[in-house]
Amino acid sequence: MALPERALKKITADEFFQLTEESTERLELIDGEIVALAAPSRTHQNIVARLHYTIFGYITKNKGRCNVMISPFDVVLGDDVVQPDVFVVCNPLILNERCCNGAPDWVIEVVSSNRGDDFTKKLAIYQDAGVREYWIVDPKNQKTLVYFWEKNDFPDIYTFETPIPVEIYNRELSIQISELL
Amino acid sequence: MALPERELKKITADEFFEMFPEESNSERYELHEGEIVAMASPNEQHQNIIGGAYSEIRAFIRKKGGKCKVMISPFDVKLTDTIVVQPDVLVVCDPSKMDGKRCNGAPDWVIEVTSTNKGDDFGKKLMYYQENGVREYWIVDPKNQKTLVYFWEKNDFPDIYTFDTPIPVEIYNRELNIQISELL
Repeated sequence: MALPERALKKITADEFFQLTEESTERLELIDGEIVALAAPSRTHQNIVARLHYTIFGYITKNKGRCNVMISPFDVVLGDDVVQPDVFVVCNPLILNERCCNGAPDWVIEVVSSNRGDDFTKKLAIYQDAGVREYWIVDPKNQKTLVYFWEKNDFPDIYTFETPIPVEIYNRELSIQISELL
Repeated sequence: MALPERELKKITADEFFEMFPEESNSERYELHEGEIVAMASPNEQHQNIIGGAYSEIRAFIRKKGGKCKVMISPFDVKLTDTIVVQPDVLVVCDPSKMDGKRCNGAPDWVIEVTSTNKGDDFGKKLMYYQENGVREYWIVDPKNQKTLVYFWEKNDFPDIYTFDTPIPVEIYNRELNIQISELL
């Protein structure tokens, strides 16, 4: 459910934080407009939680320095403020208590009701901001769209039954979505 | 080669058309959210794919006696007041959108063949086309020898075809198929 378009004048990230400080809703700021996020489904939550668990396990086992985070947590990308479902940040300097200030290395969105956004608007925002790897996990289509912009603009498609190699970890970690369900 | 960003104030589509009237236009420009972007000259393979796709689509439309028009770049498409693009190939089925100079509104089908401004086709333009009501969008990528196909009416999730596979055209109910390797 998005707020009525054009009812609000466009605002900046700073104004957004002031306006929404007391809010308990999940809100994003995209192109100067506040967008409310719908409550996610059970499948969505299972995938998100287990992705986080898997990645956290991998980082811990390898004593890595990257942080894996889970939504709702604000990520400020230029004038946009988004809350990716799962994301990995390898530069601790861009993380503070309130937000991640800059592009995560890896973002995973699990598609729910705001479907189209993940495939277009957020894709453009992440690509532009310098996110290295972007996964769009789509339970409806039982497929994942994988971008690794460092190497190629062209994405790959994986079914839920195929292990997906994580490019930012040199394919040492692979995740099969069907095993998370 | 893009013009230096931020040096120009943002302009509208009307101002853009005034700055670049068709007769003066030897270079190709687009307007992306108020900012002027110069397009690089395409290479031979790029032009072969565009020309080949255009011929196949045109032959199909003529054979079927359809009312859609297929056009080839450079031809302006005004998507909004601040977005003017020149898709490589476009099919427009609503003649009221064509005013002799340009297409006002979203084409039914857009094909982009990636060249130097690569990233744009996969990100920014993808967004412009989807948000403004393009029904079908193909990104033909010679470097990867693959085509990314969106048919938003049916699904947000794209399909990927290698150049050796015939790609069914969704807006034509899959009656037309185009195999990119045959255009090369």
